[in-house]
Amino acid sequence: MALTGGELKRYNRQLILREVGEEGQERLRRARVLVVGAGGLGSPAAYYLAAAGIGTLGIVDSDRVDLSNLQRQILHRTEDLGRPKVESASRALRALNPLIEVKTYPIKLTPANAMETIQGYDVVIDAVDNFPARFLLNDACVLAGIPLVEGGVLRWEGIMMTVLPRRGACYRCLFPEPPPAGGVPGAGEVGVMGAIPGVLGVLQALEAIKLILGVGEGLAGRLLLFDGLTTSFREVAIERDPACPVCGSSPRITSLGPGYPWEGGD
Amino acid sequence: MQIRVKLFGFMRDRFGDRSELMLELQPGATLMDARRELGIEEEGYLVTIVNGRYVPMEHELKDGDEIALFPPVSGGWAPEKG
Repeated sequence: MALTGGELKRYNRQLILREVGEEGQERLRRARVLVVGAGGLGSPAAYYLAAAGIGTLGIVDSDRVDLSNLQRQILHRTEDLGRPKVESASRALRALNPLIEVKTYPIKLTPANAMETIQGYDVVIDAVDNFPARFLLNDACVLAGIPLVEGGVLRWEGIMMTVLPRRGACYRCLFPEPPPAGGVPGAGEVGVMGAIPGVLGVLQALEAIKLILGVGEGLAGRLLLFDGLTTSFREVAIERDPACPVCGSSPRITSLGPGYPWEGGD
Repeated sequence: MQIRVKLFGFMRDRFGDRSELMLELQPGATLMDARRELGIEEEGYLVTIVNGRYVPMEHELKDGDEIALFPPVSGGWAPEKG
């Protein structure tokens, strides 16, 4: 279906990019992107994806808005305190762009529901706040063959990479196992500057848009490290690990069913 | 031989709040030897990258190599939430 007059106007500044055009915009409109986590990373990622006209945006989050979220989770407002995050996220995204469909999943991702939740999406954005869910999402996307845009933040830093299942390194090729409890602090302990997930979340949205349009070069096979204190980006080349537990040549993880290593609770 | 180790994230705190340190290793030392010297040989979740490439633990280091050492990071979780 051709773009409407309203769409031509709304998306004008990106439509006139050589890499987009009307065909690219129609592609964005047909696209389905799942943002897992409506927090510090998920807020800017989802906001820019909605603004860009991604036709179907899924938002997964089981939390409610807390006062300590508002320093960085820009989808939610002070008046949303106590509301489910998927509700305030959905309201903000629809208010920004009523032309898109927002699907909400007020659930915690578990091995029992991960495959069905990501099914049918073209790209998944990892914006979760804990390691069990992060490894689970990687495994689910590798098993389902869905591209995953990974991002993590702490204090003044962030790291990100794009996982193209079985074509490039996955999160477990780099980090084979989750850190032990207490091995890595969370922002609840050591803090995070709000603009750091802002930077990374926007880059995650950009990666998803490029994947859908099929333009440019993505972060597949490249780990990006951002240091906000010195405003510097570094990158590291990452290759697939033949011994990777999920995408290697004889993987230990072949499904999320019984025997899946899960320590994230119900 | 001298190996430069660049520290990222909270690895900096662990090694005295600095962004890099130098390791003195015997010729022929491997990445695993360097990890042992750093005291992180048991912590498989910490990533060591040599000269911008991901290499196996048996990889033999050369004088002047640079190792980047960093942890995974996740997000805003607080310890009570796990």
